[in-house]
Amino acid sequence: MNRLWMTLLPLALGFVTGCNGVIDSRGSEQTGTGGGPPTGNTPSASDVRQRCPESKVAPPMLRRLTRRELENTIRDAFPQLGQAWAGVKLGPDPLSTLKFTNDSSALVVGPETAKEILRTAKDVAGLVTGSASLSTILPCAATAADQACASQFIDNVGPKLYRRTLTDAERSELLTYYASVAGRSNFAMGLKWALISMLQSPDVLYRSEIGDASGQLTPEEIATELAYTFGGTAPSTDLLGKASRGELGSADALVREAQALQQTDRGRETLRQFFREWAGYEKVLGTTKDAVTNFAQVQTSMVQETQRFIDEVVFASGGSVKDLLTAKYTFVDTTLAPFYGFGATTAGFTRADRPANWGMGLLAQGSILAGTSHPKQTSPVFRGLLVYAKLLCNVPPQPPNIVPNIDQAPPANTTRERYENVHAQSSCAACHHAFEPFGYALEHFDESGRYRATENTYTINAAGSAQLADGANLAFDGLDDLATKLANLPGVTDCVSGLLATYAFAGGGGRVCLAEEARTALANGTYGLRDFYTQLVNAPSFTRRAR
Amino acid sequence: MSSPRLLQRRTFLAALGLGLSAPLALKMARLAVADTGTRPKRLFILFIPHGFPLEHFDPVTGNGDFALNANGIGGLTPLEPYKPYVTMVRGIGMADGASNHGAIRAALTGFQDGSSVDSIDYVIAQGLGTTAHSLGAIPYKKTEGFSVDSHLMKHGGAWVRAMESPVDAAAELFAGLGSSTTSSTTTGTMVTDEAKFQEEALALSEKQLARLQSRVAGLTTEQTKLAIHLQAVQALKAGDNSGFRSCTTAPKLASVDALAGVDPLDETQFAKVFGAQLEIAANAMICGSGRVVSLQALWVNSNILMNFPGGPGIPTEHHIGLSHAGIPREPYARAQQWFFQQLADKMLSVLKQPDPADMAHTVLDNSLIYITTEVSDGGNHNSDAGETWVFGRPMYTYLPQLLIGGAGGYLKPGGRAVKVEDKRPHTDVLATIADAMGVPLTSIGGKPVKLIQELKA
Repeated sequence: MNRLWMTLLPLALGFVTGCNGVIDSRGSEQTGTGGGPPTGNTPSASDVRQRCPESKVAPPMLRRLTRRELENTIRDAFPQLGQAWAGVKLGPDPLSTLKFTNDSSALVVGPETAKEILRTAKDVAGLVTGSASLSTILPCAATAADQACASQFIDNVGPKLYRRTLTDAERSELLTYYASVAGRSNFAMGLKWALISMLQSPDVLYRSEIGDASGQLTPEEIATELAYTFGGTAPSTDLLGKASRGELGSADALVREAQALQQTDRGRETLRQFFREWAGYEKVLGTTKDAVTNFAQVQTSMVQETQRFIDEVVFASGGSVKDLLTAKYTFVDTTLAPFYGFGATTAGFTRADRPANWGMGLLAQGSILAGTSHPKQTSPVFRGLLVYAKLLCNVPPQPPNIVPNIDQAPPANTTRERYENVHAQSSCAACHHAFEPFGYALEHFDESGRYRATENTYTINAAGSAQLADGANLAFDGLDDLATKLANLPGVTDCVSGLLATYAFAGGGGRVCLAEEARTALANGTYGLRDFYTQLVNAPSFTRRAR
Repeated sequence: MSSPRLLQRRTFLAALGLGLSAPLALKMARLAVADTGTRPKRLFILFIPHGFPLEHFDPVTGNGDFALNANGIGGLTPLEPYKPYVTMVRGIGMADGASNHGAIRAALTGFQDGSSVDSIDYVIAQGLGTTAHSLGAIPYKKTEGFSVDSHLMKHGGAWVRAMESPVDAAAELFAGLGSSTTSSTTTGTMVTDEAKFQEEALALSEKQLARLQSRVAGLTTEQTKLAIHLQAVQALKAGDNSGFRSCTTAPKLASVDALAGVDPLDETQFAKVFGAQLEIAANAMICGSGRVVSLQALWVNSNILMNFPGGPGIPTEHHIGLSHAGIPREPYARAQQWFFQQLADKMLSVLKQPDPADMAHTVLDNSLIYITTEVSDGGNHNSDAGETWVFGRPMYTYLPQLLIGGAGGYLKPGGRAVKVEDKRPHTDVLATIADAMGVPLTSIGGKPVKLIQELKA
């Protein structure tokens, strides 16, 4: 038997026979992408981890606005709506294979979304053209409610929604429709339905990244890409003006605009959204802990803790992937400080240094540790898969058919022992040895994210080793050691930067190798994560499309 | 036996007695004597995730008799009042080799990843020229949202997120009935019809989509995206003008009114949302405004705690804690049984009334209710049929396929189990359902299908 076959055989047997013991009790593809089909044309995690000699250019795309982008766009066009408008009626955006909600290939307008967009358009148009606000939004409506006034409305609102000047044909079409409806009813009704038509227009709902015949994106397309990628909303009149005057033609100008947009609240939120979806730290909100009576009181604080931690590392400190994994502080409030047993605060959140060996960085966040645990115990499987998939960009293998409940596994002294016992058989070990050891390293933290020196009075064994994609063996002992070693692995920065670039380019139309230069700069410490994100404007895909 | 003329007269009077207008009552009377091919049929599909512990749900006793309480706790016992309408198809396996929870995507499409095939509810609705309504009792985690774990219904090439809000569902299913949903406004002396304006606005969207399509000529992915959008707009514009309408006003449903302003994603409201959606579907079926309605309960891997108010009172997660629990599996069985109790209480009890569109029969006689899931055994995760080793003991498992109702005379009377050869693809069940609804299919997604003749009257 040749060497390759000997290597592959146990793995193959693992898939064929399945694991007849306990793998974990969630099963299926919830923890990864292995079992599910692509939601759209998105690269896999292992694809984005790979580096290429040079950047490539993504194909032309129409990017449907996400729920948040649509809401921001409408609110910016009609700031007068304020609290009177409850927001868009769209449901949750679909998740891509990589678990992002902004993937271009997954964001389509099917029957349900079309209905929701119509409902949203009706709500907005009803409020805008209602007697309470119309004259404020359109003063001529009070004095000369006629075709000219309607024309003024379309000229004012059109560019804010369409992110460009309307063509004569589009303008004429809308005015004709207005006149037709107004002729059968009244001015406000005509305006209302003209606005409904605008809000439903595919030119509003999709961000155009089509480009011209040569593949060059138009100035207005670039302004739109800048505004949504870094500011989370439509381009301002000022930005569109710069685009039309040709002031977005240089790399410096693009970086300057991207940085300015990222400083806005919505800009920060756009980048935060990446970390939220990548790390999945809000999952803690949906968990319970049977033996931790006050857990419900700290769940929300845990999410805020992680958000503040990421804000500090990424925005305030301009930190890198390494900083994200090794920062020795966190943020605690009056509920978290006593819960974790460190730090002190009188009110609100304050920065607190972690005690030595009580973890570091993102992996030590209570939200992450508790969100990847079971109600009764930790889960070395889920925790291991987090490292395996989100930091090393491996695609988790498909779980076998039989996945009984871990709670029914034979008793053992510690959680680790229990997992090791049931996964010792070769059909389980074939897969579990690849990711479960990473989970063992986190065993000094219980199912609610608190440090523990022992479990059931038994000493915690947090040592382990796992093979990396390049074949190298990574040995570690405890969270601090694992986090430090991961932080120094080029593959981890490649993974995170690849995912961040994929997020920025909405899946890249299935293309990888989208921002190699920026990834190199992030890896060598030239850029932090925030800088990396804004430097994506220099990637060829930001201004061009493949033809 | 009544003569057609007598039946017609009796139906006419009965319909008048229900408060319906004379012309409508006359129409019903005519329909009442129609043959089975023209009987006003309705389809309701209910998806319940995580399979069933068949030692509690298999309705066949040791000596081969059909009994809803044949085994274990008798998971199907809530259906006892409707037993003559209940048929369990045994031996079915998921088509296309789909298995495990990912098979949710195959449940209604017939393909592991849904492929490019629309779900059967949509196919049937298209065939009937009506709308496929998708309702949901889906308390998504707001942080997780609509993922592949929720992909059940596919309409016009896109996975459909079911309507989570009963308030929205009622508005859609009873649209055009009564004053609450007809948007007419008096402006001066002129009465405007906003429905007409809406149709015109949607027509404009169609034109705009066509223009944009020409800009992306040659870009297959983007063209497909716009084609899905265009189809959705066209469906919205066309509305649902097919078939019959047996109601002139939208029914007043207290369960829906009670949910106004309530977050349908709140897990503690699950029982109320699920119950309201069943009631909406049942009433829409009676009215004829919902001829093809699906209800998705939860999603695969959902870990809702089953001790929500009005629930089965089991403080355990549906997926992790219950479906994966080992022997004994009584709590798991009781959790799944709860769904059948709701079905019986909120829908079947409503559908047993005379069909206002066919007074010679009940609505249940004229309806086909199809209950399906993604795995044969929740613990084993197999989606096929045959002897399987489950938690250390052999067990006969199959993909439970439950049919309730007469399908307008298409189905043989129920109260029986129909055994087909093991692993017969469930697409044959889908095809039989389509045929029952008057939409014959010879293939699904290019793969040939065969009707299950044993089910037919």
